[in-house]
Amino acid sequence: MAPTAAPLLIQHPAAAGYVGKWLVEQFGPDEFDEQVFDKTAVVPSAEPTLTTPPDRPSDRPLTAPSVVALHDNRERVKARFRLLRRLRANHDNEGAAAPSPESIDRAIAFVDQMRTFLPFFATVDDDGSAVIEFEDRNRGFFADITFCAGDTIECYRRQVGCPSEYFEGVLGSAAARDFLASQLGILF
Amino acid sequence: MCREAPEQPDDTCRRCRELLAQHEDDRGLADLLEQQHPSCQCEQHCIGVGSPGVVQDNEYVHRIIASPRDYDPVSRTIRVTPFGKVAENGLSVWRGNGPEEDIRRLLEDGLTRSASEPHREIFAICEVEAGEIRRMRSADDQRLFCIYDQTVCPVNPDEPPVSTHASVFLRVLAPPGTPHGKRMQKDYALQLREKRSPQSSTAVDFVCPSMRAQPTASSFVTALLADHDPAGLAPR
Repeated sequence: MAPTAAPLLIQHPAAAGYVGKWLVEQFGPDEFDEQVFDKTAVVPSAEPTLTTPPDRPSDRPLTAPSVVALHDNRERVKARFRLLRRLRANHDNEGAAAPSPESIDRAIAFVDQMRTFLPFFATVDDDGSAVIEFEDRNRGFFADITFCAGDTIECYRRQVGCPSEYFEGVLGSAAARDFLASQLGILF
Repeated sequence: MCREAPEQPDDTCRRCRELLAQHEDDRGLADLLEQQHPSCQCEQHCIGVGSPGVVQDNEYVHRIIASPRDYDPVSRTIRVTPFGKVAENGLSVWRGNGPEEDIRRLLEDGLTRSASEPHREIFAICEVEAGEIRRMRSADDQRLFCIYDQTVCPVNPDEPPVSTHASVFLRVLAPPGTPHGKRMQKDYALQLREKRSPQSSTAVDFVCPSMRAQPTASSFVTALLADHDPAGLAPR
């Protein structure tokens, strides 16, 4: 797809992908995603909870903008996982394994089941396991869920001012649900 | 050339060099380094093949973000998970004082693919001063990271290693495989990505000029940016 937008050179902190003292410059359009995403559609909210109710036309003022997002964050992350599934081994040229289709599928199913959640993102680790990262920089909150082999998950949570927490166990277990609810605010 | 530090007339330099060369793909390399050469001992030696010397605190190092899994294009954020490499076989970086040819080769390595694979692209380049990483401390005041002038095998095995490659390793490690160890690794990988000072969060406007101000690495980056800036919007 031919690039039509302005270059992605960062000029403002809010749009920067700026990571602390890692100063970030971006190059070129992201064709990997242009096949699926409208980049202007959704930027995750800074609000801690994204339980947006269904958007009913009757609730919207007539003067509301007619431009609507193509995908909400949930759908965007699921679509991104489907794209990541196509990566091959050594996609980072540093020896990363190809993403595990089973792990990706379980992550997508998990996303479908979540009722409340923070802003979240899709990635995969070097073993090929799907990872959902939750991040709210305004609150200094970060968490992730790694979908390991079998039904096991690894969860990590860090919140500014609190000790970090880690959990490893079976996804459907009561202990896992307790951890997800109490530490990540995820309900099903 | 491997040079012994005067205060260490043993074969530490050779052993550091061998360990880093023979285990460059070993995800337990960070553990091995801390076990065999604790407290960043190998930083005293120039160990990379053709390396211009140990990495100095005032050097800038760069990390290429080239895999789609590392970067979210909508939020324009770099994900944390890939930084976990610091606890395994090291986070690869290039040294900002290297010649343009080295940078060109490292970027080309990031874009190299087989004929059947989709094209690759460089999503971002991160820059940080080596001293900033070395000054990071754990809660019990231990240094967290070591930076070695490690060179690695290039994608094209017919070429020599890129002499200005370097690697960042986490050194404060709990016993491997334990839940406590994994939590600590994630804590520190996150800290490495998040490292910031109060003034730096508003410093993005001079990101590009600061890279361009460097006499070596920046000129190639500048040219690359110009290629992607047909509208001329990039700061000059």
